Amino acid sequence: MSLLRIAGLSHRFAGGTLALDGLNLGLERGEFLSVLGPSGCGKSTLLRLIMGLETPTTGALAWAGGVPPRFGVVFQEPTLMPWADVIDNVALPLRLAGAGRAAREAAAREAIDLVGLSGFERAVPRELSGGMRMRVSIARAFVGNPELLLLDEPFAALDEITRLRLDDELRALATARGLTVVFVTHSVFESVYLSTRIAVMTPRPGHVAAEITVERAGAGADFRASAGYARQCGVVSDRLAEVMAA
Amino acid sequence: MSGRMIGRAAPLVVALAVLAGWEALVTLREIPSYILPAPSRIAATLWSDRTILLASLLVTLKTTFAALATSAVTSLVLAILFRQSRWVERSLYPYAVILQVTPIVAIAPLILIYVEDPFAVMLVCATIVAFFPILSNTMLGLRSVDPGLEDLFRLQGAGRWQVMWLLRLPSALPYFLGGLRIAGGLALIGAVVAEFVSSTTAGGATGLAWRIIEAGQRLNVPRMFAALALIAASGIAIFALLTAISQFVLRRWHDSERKD
Ligand SMILES: Nc1ncnc2c1ncn2[C@@H]1O[C@H](COP(=O)(O)OP(=O)(O)OP(=O)(O)O)[C@@H](O)[C@H]1O
Ligand SMILES: [Mg+2]
Repeated sequence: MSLLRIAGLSHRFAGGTLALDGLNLGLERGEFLSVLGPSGCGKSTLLRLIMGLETPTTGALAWAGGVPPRFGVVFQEPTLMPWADVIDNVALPLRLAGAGRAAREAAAREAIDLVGLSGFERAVPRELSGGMRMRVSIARAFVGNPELLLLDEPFAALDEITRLRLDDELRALATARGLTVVFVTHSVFESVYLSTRIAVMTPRPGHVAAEITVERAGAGADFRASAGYARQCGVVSDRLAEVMAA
Repeated sequence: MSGRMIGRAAPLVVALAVLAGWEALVTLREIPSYILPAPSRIAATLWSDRTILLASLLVTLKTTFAALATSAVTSLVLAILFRQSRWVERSLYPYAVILQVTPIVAIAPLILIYVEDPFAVMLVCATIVAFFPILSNTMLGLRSVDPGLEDLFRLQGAGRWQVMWLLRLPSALPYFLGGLRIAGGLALIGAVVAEFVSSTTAGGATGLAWRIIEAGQRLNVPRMFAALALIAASGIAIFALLTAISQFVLRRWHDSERKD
């Protein structure tokens, strides 16, 4: 079932930069879609257009039912309020929606528990490590019970070990809740590991040049160690190289 | 650790050296105290005239803190209004700048004509001198918001006032406190200048500036220096107090108060 249809989407910034040109992309309910492309190709712009933070120059975004679903967002930076503790940061979407204090705290504690930060409810961002801050940001995206999760290279600034663990946590959460996810990344490995489908973008002005479905069936418990994983990383890598060369 | 001790002690060493040189100069040259009193003489005057000086100090401090509080509140309210309405900002901000650049000694005689209560005169003068750094700092702070957080608030459908209370004001707090620190010293200067200007009118202020003028007319130079020393000490104390408040408020989250 389709959730979003993007057709002929172009976006030119006020300064004259054409970031996206004629981008077509569909989003199915319940899928984990990675958007993969070189730096500056317009991935963040695409995400901001989906979020409604920018209006497209031409083209259209058509949501199923006419209105966008509830979504949670995670930016490239944790983007936390430095003066507020973990609970207040996580509960922000509920606070802005006018929820009462008790309801907010209960939901925030649950989300904090989900990302494994119990015990740090009263810490402020400065007292947390980079990976922990990112998890606060993820908890905040989950707290409003989103149907669609939009993530912009959320783990790009983290070390490999933390990143692999957060990849696992994110995948488990998305699967458990049946979420639809759009995950922007420039890592081939991360996109293959996480997604059900990958959209490969061209250099700027960007559009989707290839869509690849990831096959996980029969890979066993450790997908990263499987032969299928390595093979598909190779396929995606090749497609990316073709797109870059074209 | 020893480095920090030396850092703390350095200004004290300078003060002691200057005072010792001053004392020696006055004693060796036998300079009369109505020309230049020795530090020991000033200290003695501070003690012997303590009743009169302390009473005056309280008057000056009362004006200073009242002006500081008035400046803080008006500046905060104005900065918020300016942020919420560009028209209010365009209409009023130029006048804030004009008030700031016009010397207070030129405005004070006018205020003396229109305001009767002597305390109110000094409050108005000191407030005019002190408010601008808080206003301009707070305005800057209200604009200096993490654009990512701004996007996030927008995405969550935050209203104008929600953005103000939950995002802009907390972001502006360090700037506001920085402005307050500058304004503390200015409020004291404003209070002293106001006393000088209004001292010509009968029944005017009896603060430290007034004591300096009075003592000058009587050629009581040691008391002039004693009053001056009290003003300087008050300025330092106010700055230290406001710095401590700022550190306390921001200690947990702001980079400026990071202990490394
Ligand atoms: N606010 C803006 N004003 C003008 N140009 C912009 C703006 N934001 C982005 N651009 C331009 O649009 C193009 C695409 O930017 P975008 O941030 O979408 O790239 P990206 O694919 O997310 O890159 P990266 O992987 O490095 O984050 C870039 O060439 C950039 O210079
Ligand atoms: Mg980007």
